[in-house]
Amino acid sequence: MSKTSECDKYWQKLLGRANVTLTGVSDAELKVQLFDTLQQFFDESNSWLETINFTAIPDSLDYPLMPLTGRVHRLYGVVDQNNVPQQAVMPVIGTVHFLYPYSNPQPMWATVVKNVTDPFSCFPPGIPEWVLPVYGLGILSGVLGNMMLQPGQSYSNQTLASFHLSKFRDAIAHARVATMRANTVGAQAWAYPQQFAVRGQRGGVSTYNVHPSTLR
Amino acid sequence: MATSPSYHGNYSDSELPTLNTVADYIADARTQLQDIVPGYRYDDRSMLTAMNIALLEARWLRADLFVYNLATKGQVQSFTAVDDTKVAIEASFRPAILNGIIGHALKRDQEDYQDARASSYLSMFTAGLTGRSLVGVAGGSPPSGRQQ
Repeated sequence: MSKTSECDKYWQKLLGRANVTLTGVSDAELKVQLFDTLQQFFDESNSWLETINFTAIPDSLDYPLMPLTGRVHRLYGVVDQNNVPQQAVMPVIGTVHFLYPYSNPQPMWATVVKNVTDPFSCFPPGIPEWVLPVYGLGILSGVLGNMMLQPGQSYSNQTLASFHLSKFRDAIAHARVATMRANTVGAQAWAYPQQFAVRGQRGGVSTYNVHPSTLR
Repeated sequence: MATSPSYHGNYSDSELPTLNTVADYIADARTQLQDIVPGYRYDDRSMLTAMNIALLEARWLRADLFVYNLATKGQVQSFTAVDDTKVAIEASFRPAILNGIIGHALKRDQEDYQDARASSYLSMFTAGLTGRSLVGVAGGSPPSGRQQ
């Protein structure tokens, strides 16, 4: 069974569940709401990442990034070829800006947070294959909650909307934390960058192998 | 074992043959209006007007059926001929549009019992679009106390 057909089944299941629950809903409205829900999910969870390679050159601080799919929303981090984090920001969305220029050309890897794009021309939206199998229930809750929140519809239901939206917010928080922990259990994905490493210790701690001793 | 082909599409239901074209709608509306013999009581022009008005009212009730349709730039279609032009309405809502056409066609009649039928068809039109419970067809016999 190919992954494409597997992904299609998850789409069909999600839209089918929404159709069954929301009597009188149109497919068009459902697709638009699904797009909005995915947009909120990825925006608030930072769970859709892509690492983009580029080459930093002397006297240039800005580097536009082109993701394979989706749209760049913010910068997660930049590392050099030694996997050392670099000082970079993204004041203009989609363009990495280094705080200091480099004197030699060198490869860099920017990890960016992405989001869905092309709400009408692309359905299903080109999201990663793991999204629906892992977070499909939470996204379904987001669709149902937002649809039920609409007033004056046959499927309006304020009480159930609150219930579903709370489940959706839980899913977002779950995804955000899982991304921060690099989808591990009981581990911490983040590690001290090497420039934080302390080799010469001061402040009354051991001064092993330091000559002359700083402790006087 | 069934041998005749049946349609089953994906989420893009533009090819679903049931009530797909202008001619489909007008033909079924005439069937329900018992006006299927040429030399029609409801001529093409009046049926097309009824259809265009029904679509405009549908746009008012359910904007989502129209505004996201990029093929029509989010606008309401308007028809000038009974032909095979496709009517871009999601399959689930096509019967409601049909009821709207019939309701508007019946509205122009001067018969008292047709007023009741027009009202019931327009109620079914509204109910079908808004997802509320459907009402039954009424007005099939003349009002009591009147003679035909």
